[in-house]
Amino acid sequence: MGPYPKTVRLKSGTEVIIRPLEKDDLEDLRSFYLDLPEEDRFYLRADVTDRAVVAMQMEDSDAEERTRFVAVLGNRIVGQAALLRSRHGWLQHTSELRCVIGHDYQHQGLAKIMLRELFQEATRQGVEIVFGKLAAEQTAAMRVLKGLGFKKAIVRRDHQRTLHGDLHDVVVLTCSISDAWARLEDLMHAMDDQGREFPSPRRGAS
Amino acid sequence: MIRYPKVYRAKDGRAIVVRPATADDVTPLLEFFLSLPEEDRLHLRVDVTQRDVMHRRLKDQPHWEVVRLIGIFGNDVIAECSIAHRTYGFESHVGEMRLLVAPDFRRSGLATYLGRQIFAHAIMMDLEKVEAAVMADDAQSVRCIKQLGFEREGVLKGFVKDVQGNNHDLLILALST
Repeated sequence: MGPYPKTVRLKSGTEVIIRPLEKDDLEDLRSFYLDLPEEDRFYLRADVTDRAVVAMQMEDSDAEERTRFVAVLGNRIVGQAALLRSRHGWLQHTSELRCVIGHDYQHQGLAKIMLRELFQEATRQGVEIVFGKLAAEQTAAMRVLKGLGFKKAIVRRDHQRTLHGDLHDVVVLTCSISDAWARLEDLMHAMDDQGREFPSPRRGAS
Repeated sequence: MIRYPKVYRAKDGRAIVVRPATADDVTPLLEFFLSLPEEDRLHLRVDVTQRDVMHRRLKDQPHWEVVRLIGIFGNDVIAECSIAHRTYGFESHVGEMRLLVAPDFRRSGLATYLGRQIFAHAIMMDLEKVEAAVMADDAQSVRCIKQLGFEREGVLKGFVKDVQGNNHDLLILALST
């Protein structure tokens, strides 16, 4: 893995540290999850109110290799991003990207920074295709992913149940990692020039 | 409650016992998977040629509900069909179906029979949607899954890599319960 920890500056001027998730982070990670609004927490893949589940989620499984980064401010985790890769089988060259940012740290460019780390890691691991899942109504996040070279691949009908019980469509966006990397570099330069924000993809993580 | 074991009479007359897999089936399942062409094993998420992985696969996993049926001919496992869904979160109403049949038992009607059995389980599990993924250019599998009533949701370009390292499209299909 690259040179970590890294110190990065958010749009607000706050400096946070990006580094791989470590075993000692269990309690801090759990606190981060528990501080999320209930609706955001529902989009995690596991019930993170259960300590044993959070511990389990930190480990690789037989099916999945998980590369995780956290953004840390002081002693607090304020963001988490993960690259989920099949250990076996015909999807080994693909990876799902997931990113969740603490409520108080959204719209500060942190998701963009963490996605960049995931891209680097995906490249290092030889991943060829990355994909993300977004609720159909997350149009702002979708626009940004498209700007990075992601293309809408499939609409999964009634694939997401909201906290209120409704069924919504989910959009799967995919991107060749080499295209994504090239476009991200361009976008970073453009953002530096224009000071634009990267809306946080709120769905996912864990 | 669906009662097992059941006996499926194949089109050629062979009698196949169908029942849920148990932890005692590790060895015959390992033998089944090892007997399959490597390409067929690729569509499983874990390396089923490893005994410890197979052992864990047959145990309950937190946050997952799985029903796994096997077809047995003589003393050999010759098919496996499963449905799995997360018990927590925004996708918990969606089950993923997987089906593998030994080459010698394909076109016997067994795949369709197992698929229908698993679909009955999906209904009993209160799932609202069942999904399946097949290699888009695998005409036989596509035909089989469409016979079960699945409809195309879309294609993921280049998502499948075969044993030779060539990329293929992955066809995603779904069926509402």
